Amino acid sequence: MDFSVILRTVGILSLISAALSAIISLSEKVFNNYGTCELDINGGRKVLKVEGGRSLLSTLASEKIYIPSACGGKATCGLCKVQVLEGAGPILPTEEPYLSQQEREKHMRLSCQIKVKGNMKLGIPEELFNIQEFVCEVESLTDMTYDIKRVRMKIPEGQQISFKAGQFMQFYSKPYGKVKEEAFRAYSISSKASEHDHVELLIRLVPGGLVTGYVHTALKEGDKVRLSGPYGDFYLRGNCEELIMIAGGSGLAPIRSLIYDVIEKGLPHKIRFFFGANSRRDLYYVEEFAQIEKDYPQFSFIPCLAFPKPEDEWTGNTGFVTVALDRDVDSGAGKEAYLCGSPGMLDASIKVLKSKGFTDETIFYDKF
Amino acid sequence: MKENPIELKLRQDMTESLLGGDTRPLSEIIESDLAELSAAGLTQRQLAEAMRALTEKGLARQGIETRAGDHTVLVEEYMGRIGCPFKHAVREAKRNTTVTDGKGKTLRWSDLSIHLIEAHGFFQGLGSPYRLEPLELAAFLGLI
Amino acid sequence: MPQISPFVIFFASIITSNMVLSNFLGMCSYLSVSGEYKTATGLGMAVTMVLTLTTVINWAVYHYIIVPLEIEYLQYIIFIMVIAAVVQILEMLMDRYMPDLHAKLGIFLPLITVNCAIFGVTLFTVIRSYGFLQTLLFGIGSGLGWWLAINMLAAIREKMAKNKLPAGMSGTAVSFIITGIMAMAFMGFSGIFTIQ
Repeated sequence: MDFSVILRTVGILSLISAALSAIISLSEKVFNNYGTCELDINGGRKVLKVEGGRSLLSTLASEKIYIPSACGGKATCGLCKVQVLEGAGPILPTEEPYLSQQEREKHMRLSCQIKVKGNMKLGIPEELFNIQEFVCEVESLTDMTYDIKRVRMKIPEGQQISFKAGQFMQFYSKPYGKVKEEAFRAYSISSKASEHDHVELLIRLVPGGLVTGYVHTALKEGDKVRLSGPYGDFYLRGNCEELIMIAGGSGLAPIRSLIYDVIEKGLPHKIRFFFGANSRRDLYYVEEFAQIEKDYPQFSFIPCLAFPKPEDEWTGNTGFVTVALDRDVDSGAGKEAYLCGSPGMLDASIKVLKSKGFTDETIFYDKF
Repeated sequence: MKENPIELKLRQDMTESLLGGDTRPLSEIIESDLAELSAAGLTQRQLAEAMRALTEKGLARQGIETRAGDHTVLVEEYMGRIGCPFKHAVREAKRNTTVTDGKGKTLRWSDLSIHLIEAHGFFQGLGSPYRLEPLELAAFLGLI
Repeated sequence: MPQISPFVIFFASIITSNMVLSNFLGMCSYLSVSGEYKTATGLGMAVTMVLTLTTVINWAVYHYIIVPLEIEYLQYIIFIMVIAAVVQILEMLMDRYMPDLHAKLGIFLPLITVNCAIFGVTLFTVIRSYGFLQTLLFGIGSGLGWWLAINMLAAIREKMAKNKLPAGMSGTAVSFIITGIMAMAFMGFSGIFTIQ
């Protein structure tokens, strides 16, 4: 075998591979380089210069603008919608299922699916600019009921949390036990909005749940956890005389925060708080609400037990929260309703409220 | 056989808890389960309907154990909704149904599990904590 | 160069020498992506595009690089490298200038790199020593033929999706049977013209 043939073969192959690699990296430089793009948010309120080529969601996140998302950019939750007035290109097949006709007309897009390829004009709600990431130390873990834990966390030095009562945080779990993945879920803030150095969440154990399982079995006091927020448009509007609050289970969290907000600001609204539970063991914060009732006559607390046990010796309201609602609330005039709880309870309560004359404009609840 | 790239993307985007370390292509997972089911003369629809009937029965007395024939049903709801991993614009309520049959066997499913079985024939990967074995489920529901 | 009109080659490669139905090339993606008509259309379109481009480029590579350098024994490796490079560049181009098309076809491009129909067509043009125009039309025709075949299979599979099949026959098994029957049907065209 002639040695020069081997050399020649190796040489030619190397040359051709080198040439092809050069062509590929050259075209990557030319075609895949979107250069610096300008993101104009809310008509010039904020102008960002960013490196193009990544998804809008992650580009904004690296600029400290956190768009809420429940799936982390996989196009399965449809929550990361952002108004893109210019520069987004056509609607992609992955976005199609999540955009209604109305949203299309408003130029809403899924920010996790569209890529920044040039200058863009965006419309982002101002609240989202306040969102921060925190790495907090868990200060205390308290069992509120047999399946609800209160997690109190200290905001790190140098940071402050300011939120509107009723908003929620995203809480990130770490891998634990057999669970090898990180996950995050949204939980409403239960602490007072006037408290800027601590934040409290109420987390109910979901059997088989990834994040709630982490909180209930793996999390310890002193652990560090990651949070981002605050998110959400569930907060006090107050264009009324009376506030009807309805909650079940861990839905008490944002309502507690809202009630303290009204009281601390000295607002004149009457508040009626209907709390639905199955039996005595699902009730919590009862003494605290009884105390508020004593101190502030504008507030009344109406716990309803759907299925009280004999040993509960329950003398209060019996039946679903909707029964008490139907009986006690006469009309929707001059009232706003704030709801937080399981989807079934929300649907049933909204039905009752609407029959009383409440409208979509006077009923507020979280949609996450 | 090569994996359909659309399915591959779906599978890569799924959480580990849905697949439980099952590395087969989605169509293989689904086809092998559906083959078992059709060999028993059943459809995914029948299973889903029987599951939904039990969930609805329990929903009327949410949070309390209810008798439904031979089964004891407990439905519990949690805050929030969960999206369909097949990228349907479906967001099911976080609602768990725990059912115990006359022999003391207990199975649990969520509203999303029902949707996954009915619309996608997906019983979740082998090894997933949420997996429902098609024939086991059918026997449990009294369909075979 | 054989004395066949490029147009005869074009039609023959769609009907009588269909890549799937007479050569059984590109079976892998043909079987795995034929569950849905819409998806099959996407893949068919992408294959047609890549096939046309790579066949022509590989023809040029063969005649202007491989033959002058007398390295015919390296042609397989070089063809495959060229196909891989072309697909990568095509994806970048599409992402930049045709976002619409990229959204529809982009996901299939990596799969196409290793589709043996693409490589097969290139080799046919070399073995049969086609001229440029013949190569071009053979590339386009083969792509369209592949597209036609996968769309037919997908349409039949969609229609059959609700039907009950004996255990062990569903999925891939029945796809092979359908393909076999389609191939036999296509043999009926073989009297019209032939290019082999």
